[in-house]
Amino acid sequence: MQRRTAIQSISAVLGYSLTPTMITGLISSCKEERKEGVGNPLFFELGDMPILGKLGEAFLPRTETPGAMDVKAHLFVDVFLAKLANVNDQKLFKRGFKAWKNDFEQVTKTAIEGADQSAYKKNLDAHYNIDGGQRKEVNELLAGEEPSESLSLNKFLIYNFLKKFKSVLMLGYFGSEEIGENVLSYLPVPGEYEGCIPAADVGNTWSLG
Amino acid sequence: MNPQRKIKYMANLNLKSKSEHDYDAIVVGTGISGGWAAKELCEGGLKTLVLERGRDVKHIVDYPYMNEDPWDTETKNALTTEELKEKPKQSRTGIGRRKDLKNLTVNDLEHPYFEDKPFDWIRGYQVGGRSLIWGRKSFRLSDLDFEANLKDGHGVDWPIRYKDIAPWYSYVEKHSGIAGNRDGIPHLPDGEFMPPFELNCVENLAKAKIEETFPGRYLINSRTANITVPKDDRGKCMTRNRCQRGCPFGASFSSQTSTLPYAEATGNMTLRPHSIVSQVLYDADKKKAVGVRVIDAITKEVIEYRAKIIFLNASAMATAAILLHSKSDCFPDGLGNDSGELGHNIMDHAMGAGARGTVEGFEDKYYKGRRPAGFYIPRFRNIDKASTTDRFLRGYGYQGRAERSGWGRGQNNAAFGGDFKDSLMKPGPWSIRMGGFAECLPYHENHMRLNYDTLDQWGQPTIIFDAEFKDNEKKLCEDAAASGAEMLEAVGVKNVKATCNITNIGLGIHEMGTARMGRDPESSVLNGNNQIHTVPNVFVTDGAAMTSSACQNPSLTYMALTARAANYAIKALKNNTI
Repeated sequence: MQRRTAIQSISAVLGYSLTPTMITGLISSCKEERKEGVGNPLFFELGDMPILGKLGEAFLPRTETPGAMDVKAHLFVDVFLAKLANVNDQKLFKRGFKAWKNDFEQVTKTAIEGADQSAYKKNLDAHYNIDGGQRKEVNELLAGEEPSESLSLNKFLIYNFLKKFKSVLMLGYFGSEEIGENVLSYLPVPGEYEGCIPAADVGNTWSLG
Repeated sequence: MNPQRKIKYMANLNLKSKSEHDYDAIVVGTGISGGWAAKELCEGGLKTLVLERGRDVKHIVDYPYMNEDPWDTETKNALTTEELKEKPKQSRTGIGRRKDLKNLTVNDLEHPYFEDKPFDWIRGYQVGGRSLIWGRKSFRLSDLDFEANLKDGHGVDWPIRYKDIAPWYSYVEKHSGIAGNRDGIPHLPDGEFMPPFELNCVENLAKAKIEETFPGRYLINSRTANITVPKDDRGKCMTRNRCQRGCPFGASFSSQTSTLPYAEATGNMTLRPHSIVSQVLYDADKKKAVGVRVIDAITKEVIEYRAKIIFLNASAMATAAILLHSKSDCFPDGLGNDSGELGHNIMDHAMGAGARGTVEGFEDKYYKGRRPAGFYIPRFRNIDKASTTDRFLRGYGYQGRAERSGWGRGQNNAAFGGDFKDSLMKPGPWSIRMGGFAECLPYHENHMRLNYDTLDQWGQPTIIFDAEFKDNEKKLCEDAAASGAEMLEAVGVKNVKATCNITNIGLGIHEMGTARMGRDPESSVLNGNNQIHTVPNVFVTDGAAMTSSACQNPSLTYMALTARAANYAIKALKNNTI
């Protein structure tokens, strides 16, 4: 966040001057740098990262607004799996990732590392542009226990991986500084609550909940 | 009076001479009620030692997360699996899983307790206690509540009525600053309010439809301890809804913003963090308490402090534990426990029942700001003859809000691609939800006891809980879910879903009742002035004092009881009647 602006806006809406202690407090809390997650991956192999990046971009491609790759949303998937997921989810995710990669290569007949962005989109089309009956089947598969039969198991692992990946990717994407501050409507210090205003006055959805 | 002024601390712990240990009053705990006790006693001219078992938290400078956005933390404000290992119990609720509150909820491994039956004990060991992380909803009780036990025979009769506490509600409301509307509902009395946070368009629709369809039911602006008009050195609420991280504007009520600075300004307060009160010391000849025994949390040094009166405000369970551990020849079962009720009658509010759904229309409307409060639907069951049911006793209220969905609405569906992504940049459909808070009856068998087999690192007994919600609470929750759905249907809400997953006792974080007030020393611990019946210079004014739970959020009542008892104590000391 733009610290200086924020502090100025705090002081403007407060209606009285900030005491030196308050300013010290506001600034000192800004000094701490908590960002990590760049550099070597925490959960995945280094070679996996471009693959995850392209898969992320297939889910949330660049349009007039940034794509997943632009904000490095897939790096949050790595952080999430390493630090926030439990051991069972980690294992399931890893197996799903492997199953999805194998499936990808079988369909495209090329090594996944060399596949271009359009192949990733085709892959998602193949998995998600399915008819109602197939979708129902997938939903039931995901809602149930891990199946033992190998074809069903493979499908279960792949869809579970894609579902989880997308969900966490979105957290990384919409919770990124670029989207949060520059694309969505960002107002760290609203000043007051107005319960019924024209939506057009706000534009995009509020970034902070 | 400046909340930013540094509070004086005891410079050293090596206080051996008796005179340095003498105070007029000792307050144990610095949360909502302890802060109020400190303020009132200090302003009343008493030299007061205020003890806190946790670390110090200074206003503003100790709020490291007050300005953080989700992207400012690597994990987007979630605690890691590694960090959660120290919070197996605190993480049973949302605030125990948040990075920004990591240091405001306890480390369960350092502060263990035990459960015969599941009990979610959510604690904050620091100066300010849970006043930093509370929900701030502030409602008065009425005679519907103060007479409830007498009328249906559960528990014992409150020794006070609404008229006894009403002026003290006004007193604490005026000072604390409660945003709310005067709604004229007899069983949820109006108070001294600052302007409320307004309802949004969908909530206004819900209010109109509910009040039109169901006579006797009201949807009102919630009443919350966030000031909407600047007061003293506190700024008005900026609607950031980051109250629990510590409010740099001082708008949110906490001990740091609203009580301790006022106590400090008198020059009468000595605040001592890292001070675990082990026992209240009793003098059998004087038939009085004479002080407290403290263990320094860091050095483990044992120190005794003496004072004329003692206020216990350690939180309901910890206060009861201190008293139970204060054994002597006169009180073999714990100080003031002649009745055998100490540690019993644990109550909380049963949550987990509610209703939600989506609202069509209002697509061209939105809101600005993040309110620290939504709406409230006061109790409407068993109020009068017309609303009386034979299915259950007492009632419940709801907290709720309406809002537009954000990007999260696309998280679990099968969509992807550029159009999908861009559509999520715009606000989604409106939804409305409400969650019930049900009254819990006082059951003698719902109790806590001390565990001398497993001591904590300071050699103190740990607590074992044996308490649960019972049939009446379950029925209240079932009714809250069904009535919630019925009201939303009447509003025209779509996809209405009622839920009823009753929480474990404790999760409401409204635990109370372990040293109840009453008229009869045979069946209660405290009298009508919050004095221990048999040790009148010890006052208990935290949640332990509650005789019944009502269904309203209880902290405002703790504030009022504390101010009332403290002012009684000051007078009694002057008149030499304690």
